[in-house]
Amino acid sequence: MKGYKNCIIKVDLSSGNIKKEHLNADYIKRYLGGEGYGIALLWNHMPLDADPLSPENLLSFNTGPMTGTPAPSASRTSVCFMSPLTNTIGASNMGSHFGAELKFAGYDTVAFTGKAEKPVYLLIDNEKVEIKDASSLWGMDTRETTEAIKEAEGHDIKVCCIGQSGEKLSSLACIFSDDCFAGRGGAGAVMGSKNLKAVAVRGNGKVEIADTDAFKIAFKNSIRELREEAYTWGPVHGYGTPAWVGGADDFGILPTRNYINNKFEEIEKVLPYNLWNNTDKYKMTRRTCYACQLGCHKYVVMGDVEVGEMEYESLAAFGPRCGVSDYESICMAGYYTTIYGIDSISGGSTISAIMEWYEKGIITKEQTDGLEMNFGNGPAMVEMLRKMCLREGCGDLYADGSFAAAKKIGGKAMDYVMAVKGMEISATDPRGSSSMTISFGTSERGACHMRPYAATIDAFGYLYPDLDITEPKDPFSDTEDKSWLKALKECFVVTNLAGICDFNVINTEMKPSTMAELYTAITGVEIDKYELLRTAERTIALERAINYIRGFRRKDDRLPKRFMTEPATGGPPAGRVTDMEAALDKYYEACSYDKETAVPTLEKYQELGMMHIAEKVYNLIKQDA
Amino acid sequence: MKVKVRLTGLLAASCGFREKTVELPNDFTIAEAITFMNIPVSGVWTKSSVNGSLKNKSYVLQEGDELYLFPIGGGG
Repeated sequence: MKGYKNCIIKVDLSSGNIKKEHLNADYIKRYLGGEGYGIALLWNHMPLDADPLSPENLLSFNTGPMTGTPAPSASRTSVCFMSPLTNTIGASNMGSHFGAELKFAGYDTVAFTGKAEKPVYLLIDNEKVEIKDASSLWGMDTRETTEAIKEAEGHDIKVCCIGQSGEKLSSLACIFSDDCFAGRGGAGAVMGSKNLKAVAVRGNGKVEIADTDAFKIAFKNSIRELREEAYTWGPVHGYGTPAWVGGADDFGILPTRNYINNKFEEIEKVLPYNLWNNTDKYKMTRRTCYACQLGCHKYVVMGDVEVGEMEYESLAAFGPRCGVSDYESICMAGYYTTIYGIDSISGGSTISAIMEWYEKGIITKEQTDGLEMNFGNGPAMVEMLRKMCLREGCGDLYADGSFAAAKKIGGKAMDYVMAVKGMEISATDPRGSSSMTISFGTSERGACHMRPYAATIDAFGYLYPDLDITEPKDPFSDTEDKSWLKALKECFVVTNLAGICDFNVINTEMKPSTMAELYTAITGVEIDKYELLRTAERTIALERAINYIRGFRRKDDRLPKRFMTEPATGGPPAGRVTDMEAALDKYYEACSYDKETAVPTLEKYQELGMMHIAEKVYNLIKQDA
Repeated sequence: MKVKVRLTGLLAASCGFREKTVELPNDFTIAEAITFMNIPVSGVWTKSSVNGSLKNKSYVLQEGDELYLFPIGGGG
């Protein structure tokens, strides 16, 4: 089958054994590739009760069938693992040029088990695959590591690596590649736990396409669909995702001061135009991932500091969420997350929790190394972040995120943790979007705004006729039918399976049927949009099964109580709280999930051809009963 | 003057209607109509069309116009 390279590299870091095998055809048929393939590896090839930081954890880098083709934004790699942050499945998706290069080298997936005796990196140079000593790289930051490997292996090599936070096993640590990140869930800590500093790849091959004429037609259709959407091809194309911070504030969905508020009174100061117009201080350039049509990345240099990518989530996390309005501090925070390698969303959210704990007297200066952690104190935010990244002093307490810190602090600390399944919520206030209540709550990897970014439909009124979303939805109704949300989530997950960026669908741009046409043209295997969505439904069902086995239930799909008890303070959602239970019931009904256990019903598993999965889950359910 | 107003997304939810005929003072612009109807947004992130054509906020509304206001935006 074209599109795939039909080869997986399996590396046992304990023994140093490296094997190349054909892809499992059954996994491809059921789960398509990418994240689906990585989750199937977890289910089939590791003990499901494994500690995420133990050698048993299976860490895989999975491309999809479209990765490395000219399809729009076909750059993506899904990193799959058991998450040290959430203890659920981990699935973190990154762009850059790494995934395409892996395909050009002849591989779809590279999977790691075990733990190396000393720091190593994996070099993949076309057919040659070898484990190399990384002792001299240990202690380097992400950019230094990348440069050192390029110096050693050649500047055309593509690198993904961890910084000091990954080495120090921070549950917030991410994987860095060309200033792109597999950011969420602590994949960087899993690399660190395996003494795996980096993976470097060079490929001189190409990804063959089965039907180039059909591909050209599907490609033209996809480009037209992308460019017809005014927001993505307007502000985001021009200015990057920070463009949205003003809109989020205007519509009252911008989390401010740890979600106490949903609008920021100093919004004018953090509008990205302040950054772009201050050309004496800041230099901005556009960067793109492989095959990207959009170019949402905006690379910032502040004086002598190469800040790196400044995007909406980072700006919102270190700006309004912490009550900070000075760009210098926000940029410095972005710089530290980049070089030390931690997730900016969880990093900013953890600091906003620290600020609320500090202001409420739950922690004192003894637990902040004397820093005045009041909301709005930018320099204190930056210094606390640095300490967290390096586990220095009090930073050790917070380095694994707000949920882990609250458990250690005790008292009322947990009341102010804005996280689901231990993962901090990102920059959309769900009180302004009922569908985001569900997205954050039910995301299998912990609070995730891209599973799906559903505010587009209910809060901003977009329709998606190709997905049968033809009527406007009510952002304030938790009791409205949520079947559209099931379809939208599957559409987003398909992008992770196929290896394209979910910005292709974030504002209902690319039709699922066009994605199916692209897949058919690339692979030569005919598929329609319904079967494409079904591969995502199976992947989600498998993730739910793994999470159930690891102890996750309906209660873990709930948002923090703040959203159910404290009304939104401004803008269109002012006065609104979320009815979590009603929303969950509606969503579970739409997905055919059992309302108690939050896993697909036996009938649904049967319909999906997954009774071998269901058997294990339902045996456990019987035991629990 | 009477203007038919259509809203969507958070605009509709916060105003409590998706479609309604609204009595506005004569010669009101779209910007003035947004304020008059107490729609709790600045209008910067709201696009407007009149009778199916995109218009800017300084457009002066006429009797019988159909004004459609919709958010423009998305996540990151």
